[in-house]
Order: sequence, then structure tokens, then C-alpha cells
Amino acid sequence: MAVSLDHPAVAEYLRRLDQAAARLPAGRRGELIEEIRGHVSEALAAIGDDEAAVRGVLDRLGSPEEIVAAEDVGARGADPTELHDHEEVGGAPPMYGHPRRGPTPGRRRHPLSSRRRSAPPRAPGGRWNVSRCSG
Amino acid sequence: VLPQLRRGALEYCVLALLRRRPHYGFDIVRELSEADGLLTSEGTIYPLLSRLRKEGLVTTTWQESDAGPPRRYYALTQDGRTALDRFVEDWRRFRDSVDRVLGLVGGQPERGADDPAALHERGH
Repeated sequence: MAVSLDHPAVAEYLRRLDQAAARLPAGRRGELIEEIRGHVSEALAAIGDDEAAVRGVLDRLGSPEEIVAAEDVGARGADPTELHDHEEVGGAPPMYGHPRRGPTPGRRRHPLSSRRRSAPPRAPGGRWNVSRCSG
Repeated sequence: VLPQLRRGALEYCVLALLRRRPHYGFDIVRELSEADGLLTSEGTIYPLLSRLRKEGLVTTTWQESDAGPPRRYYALTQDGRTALDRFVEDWRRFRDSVDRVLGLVGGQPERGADDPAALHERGH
């Protein structure tokens, strides 16, 4: 059974999604919105479309901004997942709504990744120990 | 730590679901939601599916549904199968290594890179 999507909260959610997705290529924007519409419709058909159900479905979806930000995740060569890292570990507020851009040297990194990069190389010490052992 | 681990593993969990049979989006979400902690914001599965399609790991087809509008079904491609097989291998090794270091399995502790004897063998 197809469920109507004209509940005010759903309409508002889809409006925000449309706005957040404005920076995506037109084809992908339409596709994403269609998929989310389909999802909401399927979910409400499965669990009922009373007030609590609508809230629950939208809550579990995550925010429209978060969904659009996920469009950048995993693009080979960049690491836009940092936006999520900061959000999920409770660090700086997420930077939603920025135009797509490549990584720049000054970008914030996850603490672990910067620690790893700045650690001194360990190989020389290791090799030195080896020659002493064998010599 | 969990967000990073989840993000890395999630796409392969999706591929694994699709190996069993083609799924439509909400169907994928429903199955993943049953696995605790895998999917936090359900809507982010759609960008993930879009990326898997761009990478040629899944294909999509529209199919009529007797329950409403047509559904977009996702199915695994041969490349997707290969990627999944490789991940399963990597995952097994990774999991075993972490388990050993954490002391979650019995047996001898791993000989580490700082162990002079191990270096000696490798260097010659």
C-alpha cells in the first residue's frame, strides 16, 4: 500500500533534503530525493503512519544534511569522512553545506591520522639493531 | 573508533546481503538494522549505494511492486563479488590479528616487529 507523504513533518524533511542536495549534480539530486521518498513511503507502509511512526522513521533516517554529506564519503583520493569523524566523536561541529572541494593541506585531520603521520620513522633504528645483533 | 570501523565494513555488509539476492533500498536498511550498531543513520545508505554503483560493484533495475510504486533493486556484479571475496579474506586476517593482540584468543602471543629475533630472521 502506498502511503501518502503529505504529513507536514515529511514534507518539511523532504524540503530540507531538496535544499541540502542543491549542490549535487541535478540527476543525482533527483535520484536521491526519489530514494528517500520511496524509503519513507515503504517504512510508513510497514509500521503505520501515525505521528510517532512518522517521527521514528525520520529520526532513523538521520538529518537531510547528514545524508547529503554522505554523498562525499569514500570518494577515492579524498577523505571527506572527517566531517563525520568530528561529528561522531563529539568534536568540532560538522561543517555542512560547503561546496564540494578537494582536500587541502590545512584541513583538520582526525587526531589519530596526524599522530601517525608525524611519528618518526622507525625503520632505521630497527635496522641498526639488526646489524648489531648479527654482527 | 566504532564509526570508522563501521564505515569501512558497511559497504561489504551491503555487498554480502546482495550476494544472497537482489534487494531494494528499504529492504537493505531493514536487514542491516537488525544487526546492532551497523547502521546509525539509515538515509546514508543511499549515497553509499550510489557510490557502489558508480564503482561498478552493483547494478540497479526497476521492478514493479504490488505494494505501491516501482522499486529500484540492487544486485551484485562480478566485480562486486570479487571485491567482497577479497574483503572476506582481509577481514579474517585483520580480525585474527586484532584478536591475538587484544588477547581474545588463546595461544602464543604474536612475535612483534620489535622482537630482535623476528627482525633477524626477516633481515636475512
